[in-house]
Amino acid sequence: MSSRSDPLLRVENLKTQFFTDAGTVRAVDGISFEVYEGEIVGLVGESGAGKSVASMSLLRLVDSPGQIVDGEITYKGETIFGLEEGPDGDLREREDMLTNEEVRTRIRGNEIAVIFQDPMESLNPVFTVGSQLREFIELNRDLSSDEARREAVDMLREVGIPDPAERYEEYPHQFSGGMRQRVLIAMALACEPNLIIADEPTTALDVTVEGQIIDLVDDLQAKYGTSFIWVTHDMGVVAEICDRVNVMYLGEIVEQAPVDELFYDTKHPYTEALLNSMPRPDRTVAELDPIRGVMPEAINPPAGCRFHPRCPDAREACKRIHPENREVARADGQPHRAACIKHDVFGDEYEESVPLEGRAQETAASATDGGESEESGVESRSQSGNGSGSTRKTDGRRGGDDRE
Amino acid sequence: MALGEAQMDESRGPSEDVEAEYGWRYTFSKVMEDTTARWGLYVVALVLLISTYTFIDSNLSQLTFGAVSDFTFAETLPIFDHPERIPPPGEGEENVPPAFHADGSLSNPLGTDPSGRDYFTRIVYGAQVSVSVGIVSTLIGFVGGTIIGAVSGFYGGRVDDVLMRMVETVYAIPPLILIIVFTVFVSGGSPDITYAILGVGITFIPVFARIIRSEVLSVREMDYIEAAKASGVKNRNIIRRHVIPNSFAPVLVYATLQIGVTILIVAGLSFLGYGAQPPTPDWGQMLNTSHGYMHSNVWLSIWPGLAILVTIMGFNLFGDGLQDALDPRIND
Amino acid sequence: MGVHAKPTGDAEVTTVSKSSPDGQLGSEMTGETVPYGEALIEVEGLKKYFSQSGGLLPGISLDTNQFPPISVGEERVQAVDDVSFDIRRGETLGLVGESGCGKSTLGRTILRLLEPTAGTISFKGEDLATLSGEDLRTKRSEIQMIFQDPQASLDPRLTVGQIIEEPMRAHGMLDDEGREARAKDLLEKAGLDPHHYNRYPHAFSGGQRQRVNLARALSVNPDFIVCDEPVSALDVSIQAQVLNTMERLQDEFGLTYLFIAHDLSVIRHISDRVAVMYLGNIVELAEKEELFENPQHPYTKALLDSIPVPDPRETGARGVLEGEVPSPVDPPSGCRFRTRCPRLIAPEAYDWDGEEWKRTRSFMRAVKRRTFEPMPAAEIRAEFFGGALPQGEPGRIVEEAIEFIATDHEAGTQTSGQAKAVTDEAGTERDGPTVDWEQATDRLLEAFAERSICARERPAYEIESAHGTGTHFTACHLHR
Repeated sequence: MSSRSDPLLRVENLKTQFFTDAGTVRAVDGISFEVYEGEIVGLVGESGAGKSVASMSLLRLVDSPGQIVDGEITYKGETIFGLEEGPDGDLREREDMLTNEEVRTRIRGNEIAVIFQDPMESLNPVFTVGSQLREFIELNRDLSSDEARREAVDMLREVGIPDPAERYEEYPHQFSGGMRQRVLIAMALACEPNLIIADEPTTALDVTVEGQIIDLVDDLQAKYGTSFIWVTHDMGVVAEICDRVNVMYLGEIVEQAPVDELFYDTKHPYTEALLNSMPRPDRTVAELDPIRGVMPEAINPPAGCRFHPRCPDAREACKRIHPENREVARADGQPHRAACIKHDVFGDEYEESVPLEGRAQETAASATDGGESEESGVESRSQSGNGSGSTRKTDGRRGGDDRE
Repeated sequence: MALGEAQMDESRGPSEDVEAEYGWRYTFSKVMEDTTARWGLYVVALVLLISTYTFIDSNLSQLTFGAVSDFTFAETLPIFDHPERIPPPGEGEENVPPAFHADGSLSNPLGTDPSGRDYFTRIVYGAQVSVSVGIVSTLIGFVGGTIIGAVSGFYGGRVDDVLMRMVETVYAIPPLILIIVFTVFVSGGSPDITYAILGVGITFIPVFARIIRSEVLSVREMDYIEAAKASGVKNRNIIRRHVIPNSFAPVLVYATLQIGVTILIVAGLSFLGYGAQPPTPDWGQMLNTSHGYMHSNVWLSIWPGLAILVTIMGFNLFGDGLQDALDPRIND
Repeated sequence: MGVHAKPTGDAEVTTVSKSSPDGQLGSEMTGETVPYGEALIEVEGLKKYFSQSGGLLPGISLDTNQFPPISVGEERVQAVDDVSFDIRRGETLGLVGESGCGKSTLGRTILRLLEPTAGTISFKGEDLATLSGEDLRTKRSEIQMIFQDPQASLDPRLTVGQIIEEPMRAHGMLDDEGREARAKDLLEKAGLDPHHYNRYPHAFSGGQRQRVNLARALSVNPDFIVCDEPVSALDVSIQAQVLNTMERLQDEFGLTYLFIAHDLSVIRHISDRVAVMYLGNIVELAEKEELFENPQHPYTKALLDSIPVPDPRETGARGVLEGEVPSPVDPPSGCRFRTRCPRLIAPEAYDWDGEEWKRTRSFMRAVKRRTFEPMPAAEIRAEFFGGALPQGEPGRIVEEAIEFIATDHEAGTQTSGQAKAVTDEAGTERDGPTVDWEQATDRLLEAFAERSICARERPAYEIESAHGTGTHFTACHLHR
């Protein structure tokens, strides 16, 4: 870390919770990461991992019943969110924390911009694309209407919209999905922010259009030196565009590494399992190796390591110890962190502990089929039904079974 | 948002058995959880109870004492008087103020009207007219609208075009004028509450038709309808098992709210003289007769007005609660 | 029943049919006569056009993908246009394409959920396209479908038990008890707990709901299932679970799948053969390995190059395709991909050297899409042709086109100051006297694009496979 300058954005122990009737949902539960100037940082995870909530928390855009309850968010030395202990022992907002007004006028749009997944929802259908872009520039950059208009046309051209002057007058529905996403990128770039949070910006797009957008972002990033936080569930996109990656599982960051290390020197079993469960476009995978079960609720996460009920490597100690993210390796001066006690830096409890009961066999079985069941209760059943074919129940039906 | 989806998906553990969340019992319990809806339901229940009682009362008495048609069961209760009978001079006093007034008496808790009839009795009996008006005319609109709307929505094309153009034509005429014209025309110049009910019901057929149609149209596009088709389920079974149950809830809610509206409209009709005719006790008609006494006895206007207000509030609050209870998005 | 020696599934089929008291299903199982590997479904010249007219203003249509959005005249969206292929018993045919290419329409038309405009769909020798009414309805026990949205495809007011039994009930299969037993059995086979028979769909997760869908589709013991993006709404790890179950059930029940998806990774995993669709046409169809390792159609290549590969060391081309998919209302003649094809064939009418055609082609497209700002003719020549226009006739045509869009032509009629104003105020005066994009576009397209064989003939070629033994269909004139 010493080799690099101070980070643009530093997030420490961020916790965002939703207070619902059913209980407290710990959507983001103590994540820490940094974003340096000019880099693209990935935030990946499955739905429900908390990646969207985490990215929205950075701009304090979490709505009730959600609330940021702990942690510190620092952007260029300014405190976007910070708490301190008050005289009566309660946590209270720090004095140097920016007010809502300051975040709204100075940070959002100007310093940190957001690109959302669904460009149709981010654009108002009753105004022309150009006027929305112009208004945004006018508001955030103190330009006159004419200057803002010229700037808007330039931005549209910049993001590769053909014939920008004419398309300036068109309405969002006249744009294709890819073109709308380009408009949003233009809008995000319009105020030359230092950081852009892109929340699944290509998920709704076709693969060839996705390629075009990724290319565009790459070019623009090289030109403007903007940093990105790229929120996605797609490991392919991560490999394509990110410099460093944070893998989220159930509100926590379980692995944090430069992109090459994440794929070639994977340190957390969840990342490993996720990579193994994906069909590949570049080679034929005969057998998929799914992760067993489903992600539990963030309302009542499992004790110990949150991944242990689904982890193929889990041992008895994993049920007890809740590992924090620790540096387990270093690559090019950058840390590779993982939250898994099987690594030496976590001590030797893992080595001394026994594998969870039945885990070894189950993993073997899951290689063919059984692992697919989403509920542990069913799993044994479907395994017995498809394993050797010798169980009572299915025997009769398989009378003519000549598979084996 | 990703989180919301996950919550929805996984919020029910695999082991616990989930209760049916679409039964009437479930809906009822959902309505009872909501305080305002619960009070709405209480009011509705009370009004229904009163009208049932007075209905049985007036009809039973006629059955039993056919000859003595002006005797009612209610008169056996100390507080009730016959609602329609004008007391002969000397028996009842005219324009007695309510009981809490210095000149009032407990025998006429809400006072008497200009003809000396007990106002409380008339208010209570008025419920019967209002409720039957509300329910019957809403039912006419509901049934007629459901048939037209479902046919129109399900078959589409020409049928839809023709039916909807007709519906829109009716829709374009101001309802009150339509009802008055209908009432006068059909009744041949002697308006009566029956014609008013019929008129209001028919006038609201287009409203229901449009709601049902739009519901059917959206349900028809659902994947599970296509799935049923792809499975080879017969059209009529698709309508019966999927289309109707899934289009029903919003219309039911609307009907509940509509009852309040029709009560108000018929009250207005009675006020204008096209609805219930004297001496039938009806809140709107009572307002009509009392407005000449605004200065001498303001209570004559306040009581029926309050009765209308409370009843409509009751139906509306209940309807709102029902809407929430039947909306799966809120349930989840 | 069971005359042929077949893989695993048939034991299951036999059991079920036997347990059916009235034997109705068994009697319909004519599919047993189609051996594995032979064509179960043969689609020939299938077309599905959607008419855009109707309503109060017939003939006036709205298309959001073109400008102006309102056009007059009877227009038909050619969602599926003249598609032929077959699906063999026991295989999975992957159908891949981008949104709007007509793949879902094709799947639904084969199932006769949509009325085909033309063509035949021969299922076990019987033409589904001509069936109607009750004949078609009873046929549906043999062909089933799984939908993309696992939530929307299950009626929220029915229990999963009722949902799974509905198709059986519709086809008069089994009695009440038999249906319940079978529904529970299918729940278990689909990887769910049979005790959840009385639960409502919303109590399940996305993956579990898709399993309910599977169980429902299997309930009537079909031969053929159209799977329309069955896993694209699911998370990656759940996708793998459901895909594995689908493969297992295919083995167990002897099923044939038409697997529609936009995700090439999923297609590569599950398919035996793959068909690629673009704008209502199948552009390439080959065995899986052949298609992914030896793609012959430029569109397939572009598609494969665009997928983000989950491997940071793989640095391939990405946004290789320019422009956008044309409107299916008025698709390009000949090869539908030609307007975006990076390998559009040079018109034979002229004498070209390769480089000249490449430059002319990219200039033509830049003009058509208006991707550059009007500039002086010399600059255009320098930017697109390195200063040297093509020789002979093509050069003259290009020169003409440049004149339409250059800012310094017709120098006699205006000053350079005016020309500059036009450039600056492109937004407001773009149709000014000097810049005429439309004419330039028309001139170029008419002279070059329309004369290419790609525009004149619809391609369809069969070539040798480099991988495997199957045939390789590709709709590209490069193989003529």
